[in-house]
Amino acid sequence: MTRTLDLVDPGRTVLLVRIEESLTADFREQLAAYGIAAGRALEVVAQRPMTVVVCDHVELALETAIARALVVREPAPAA
Amino acid sequence: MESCASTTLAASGPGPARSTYVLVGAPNVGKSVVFHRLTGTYANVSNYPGTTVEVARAPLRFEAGATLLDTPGVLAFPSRSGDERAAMRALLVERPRALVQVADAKHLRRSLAITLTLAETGLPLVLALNMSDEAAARGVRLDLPALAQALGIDVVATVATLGEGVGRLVEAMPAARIPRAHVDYPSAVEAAIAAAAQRIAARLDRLPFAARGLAILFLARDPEVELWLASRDAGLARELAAARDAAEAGGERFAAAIARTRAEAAGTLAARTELAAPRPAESGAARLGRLTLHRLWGIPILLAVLYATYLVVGVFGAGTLVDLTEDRLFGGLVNPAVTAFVQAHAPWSWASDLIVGPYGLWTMGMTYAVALILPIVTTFFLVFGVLEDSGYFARLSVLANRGFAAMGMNGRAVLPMVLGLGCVTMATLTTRILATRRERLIATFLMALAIPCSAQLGVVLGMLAALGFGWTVAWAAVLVIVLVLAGALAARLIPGRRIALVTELPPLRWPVAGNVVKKTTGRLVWYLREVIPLFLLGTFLMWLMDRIGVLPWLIERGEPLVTGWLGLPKEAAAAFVMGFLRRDFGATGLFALGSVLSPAQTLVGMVTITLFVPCIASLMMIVKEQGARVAALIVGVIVPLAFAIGGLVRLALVALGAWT
Repeated sequence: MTRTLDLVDPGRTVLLVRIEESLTADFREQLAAYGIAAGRALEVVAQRPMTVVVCDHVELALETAIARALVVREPAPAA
Repeated sequence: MESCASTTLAASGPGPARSTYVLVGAPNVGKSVVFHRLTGTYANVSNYPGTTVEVARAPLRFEAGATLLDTPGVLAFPSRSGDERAAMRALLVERPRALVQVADAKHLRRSLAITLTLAETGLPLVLALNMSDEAAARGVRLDLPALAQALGIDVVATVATLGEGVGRLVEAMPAARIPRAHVDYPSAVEAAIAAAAQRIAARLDRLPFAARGLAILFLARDPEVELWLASRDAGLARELAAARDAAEAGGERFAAAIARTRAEAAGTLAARTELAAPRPAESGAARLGRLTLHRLWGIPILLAVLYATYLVVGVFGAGTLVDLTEDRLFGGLVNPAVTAFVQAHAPWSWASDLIVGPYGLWTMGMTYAVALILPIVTTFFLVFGVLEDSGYFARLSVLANRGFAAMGMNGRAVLPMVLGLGCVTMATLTTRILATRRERLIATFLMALAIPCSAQLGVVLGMLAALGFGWTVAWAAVLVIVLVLAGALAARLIPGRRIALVTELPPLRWPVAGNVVKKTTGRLVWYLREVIPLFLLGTFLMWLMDRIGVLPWLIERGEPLVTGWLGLPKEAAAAFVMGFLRRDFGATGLFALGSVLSPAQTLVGMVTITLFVPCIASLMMIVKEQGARVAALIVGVIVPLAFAIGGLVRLALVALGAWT
């Protein structure tokens, strides 16, 4: 089941499914430059005052409008 | 930006430059520290993304005749932000001997995406994987020989703040090699690249770098490459754009396909380089970093930081140190001696008056600059440097984001706004880190209006503190209300849209003493170079206006406004005339009237003078950054607004029965 990143509880790690088309090309390119691309794991650290995620050992703060455009899902449970 | 030779690329033009090395890299990876290590000069070093707002150039220590260029942070190419465009201009005009990419060892994928872009230029390259200590602390282990082999260039692990690995980097730079790494794009993209590269190579000579690299950037719509091509051959640029648009019609943009393919290639390369290692336990600094943004602890930590700042700058700097320098050193020793000497030796009375009179170059200009302002700005820049180097400012931008959103900006504006509390002139220059012209304009306007610099702040707080804490709070409250309302209004009136905040949070760390001292020294040197001549010029103008009768005339003309609308004694008009030269001059003028003014009059005077026009140096910087028309508009709005608000505060005090 998918949901947007702003709805993920802090402490959870999710996989990015896609970035909504509503986000401008500039933001999509910026996120790609930070390594945020489909299939990447994002560890949610906080949701207030902004969404804070860890991606590849780097902490990024995303405004809610951006987090709302990131569609994520829970990773498959380990076998 | 400060003590090093600094220039903008627009001014530098195409140089001879076969001996120029260019530093390139993402924001906040330590380029400026590497620059300092390699040149011995200081280019504003900090632990905050986007510190380098101008391009710094200095001679290399280890190679006679060679220079090093420090470019602003690049998140990715094609360039989008002002910083990225400046970096791309450097690649296009400098014809570098080699590029030195400084990269964050913790974030190899992102770093390698830039490496692969630079590889496409066909320029010799060295990769410095910096912050390798922080990477190791996070359990990141890298197979550097394998990475060097895959890229075909030297890869050096560095910890620039400690100087580790810099020796190996120095050895690698003169022997920099052209990378052999190559990204294979989808066939349709490759076909478009080949066609564009062929046209570029056939029509243009003396290319700044490989035609394939230019073609890729053009297809990805890099605005600087588009401009460069148009400047060399407008017809070719039109043909290439038409071919690009036709190929993109109905399909994916080349920019998206190029970025995706490059990111995948960087990911594959990073996966081959990163060695498996257990993830270490979270460090104390990481836990503290989390607490600074915690919904319960974030604000108390912010208040503690502000209180500590107040203790160092307000109590120690503006209190203890100023007491020592102004009263004891200058008031008790230096000024009496200088005055006696000048009066005894000056051949004419006007010359004596010019140097040691009421508007004397020494007794007013130098005394203000050295005895009053220097201790305050020194302590402010020291605290600012500590916060900057610790990584706290990035967190502050997140905490402040919502407040700045109301003013049409995002939290990134917190850096220039806080720096403005030290020096508005310097802060105006720093607005370049903001993404859009609209944000830069709003920030510049608000700083000119309602952010008092440390010199003015010292005088204002000194005066209000003597009246009691409540008057200080009232003054601060008026300023905050004006700031927010003016910001909200500016956000509505200035066309454009607000940019949402996406920012990296660098790890919190203990500030490195050497970095803080260098930063503080660099800023002080810059400040004194700017301020002392302007103080002397301002004092001279005051003296001249006083001698030829202009000052009394201006004071007389301004009297109805000052006495009628603001309710201040007529002598206060002189303070506002002085405020045209520097706001702190004006505040000091009111300070001199201290015993004459009631507490309510002091509040009105301080509010008005704080909101008054920025100093001459700030105004010159606004002209430089925003143009003369915008600067005139800002002054035209601020002057009546300052008096209007001052009068409204008086009316409010009258209504509250507090006007005496």
